[in-house]
Amino acid sequence: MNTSDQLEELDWLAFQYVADELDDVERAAFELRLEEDTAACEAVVSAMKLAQAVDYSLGTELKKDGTTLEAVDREIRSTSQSPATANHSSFGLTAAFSIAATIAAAICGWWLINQPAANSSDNHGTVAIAWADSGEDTNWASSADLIVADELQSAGYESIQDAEDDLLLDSDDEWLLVALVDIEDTNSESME
Amino acid sequence: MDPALVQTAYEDHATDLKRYLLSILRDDATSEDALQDTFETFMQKGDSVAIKSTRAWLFRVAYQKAMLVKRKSAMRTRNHEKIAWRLQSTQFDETESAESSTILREDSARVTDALGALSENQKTVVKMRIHDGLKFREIAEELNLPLGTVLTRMRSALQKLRNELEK
Repeated sequence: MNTSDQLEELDWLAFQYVADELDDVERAAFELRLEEDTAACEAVVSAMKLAQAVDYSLGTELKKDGTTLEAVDREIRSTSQSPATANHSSFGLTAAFSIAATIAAAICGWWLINQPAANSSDNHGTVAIAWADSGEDTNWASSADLIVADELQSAGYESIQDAEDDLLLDSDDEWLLVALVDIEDTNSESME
Repeated sequence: MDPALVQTAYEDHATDLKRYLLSILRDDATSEDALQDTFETFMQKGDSVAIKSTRAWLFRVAYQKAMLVKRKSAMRTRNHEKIAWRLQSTQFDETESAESSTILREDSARVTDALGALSENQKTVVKMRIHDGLKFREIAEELNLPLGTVLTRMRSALQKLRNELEK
């Protein structure tokens, strides 16, 4: 074994020592060598330096890859919706939110106005129905159209679902909002 | 001992001595203590040391300090979980002196180039061992390779890296 091979062997041994890959006997033997052999000490320092630099470089490389991937991901996300689609989507969301808010306000207002009467009622459920499409204002059923659920059955409907089906328009792009509220007894009487 | 000489010796050798101590003790705090003890001894007895052999002398003292710490504490049970080269937490931190940090970053840039000279097989083993911290045995299992193949790839990769860095 020439000097070059011996140095290579020492470097490899030092790396295994630093990496904690030696068994107890090998480790003890190498530590004994460290006591007097400065070349072995230098080999350990060199192995540590190399491992630190490689670890750092690989870490930086992986970070860069991660950054690149994130950038690509962002790019894909930003181009996946054309401006027209994005605008249309934005308009749809705004319209839907406005409609929902209007309906909620109407239900709350109506409920507040009729609350005293409702408290004295027999808790008959009323189905308030509204439909809308994305391009038009919401159309609420008029108060005269409000139907007491119990009365629906006596009027020949088998269930609320049947009533809703009958009241629905057939158009595919129309959608239905249903709210169940209490109604006073007098309303049910007037419906009769 | 002239404080200026101690200061110079510290600047020249402390970083490498810390690496050396970390590889033996595998603990940052005790390695730092041993390093301080080493230079304290140097301040007390350094007059008798020839400047040319200061480094070798410091290695010997550091070794003795490390072994003393090992014997005193229950550090005989090695911590297999720790990756020795990551223990020197300030290695690339801002706490490292600007000059030293720059040198290490330049080293790292050269290492990145050197890594490019490795085959994919070698680079995979190097990454799994040094960056991911897997043992050779675990790498062999992970890659479904004989342990000897993994060791050979790592050994040749380290040799190639050293050669590239010496160019």
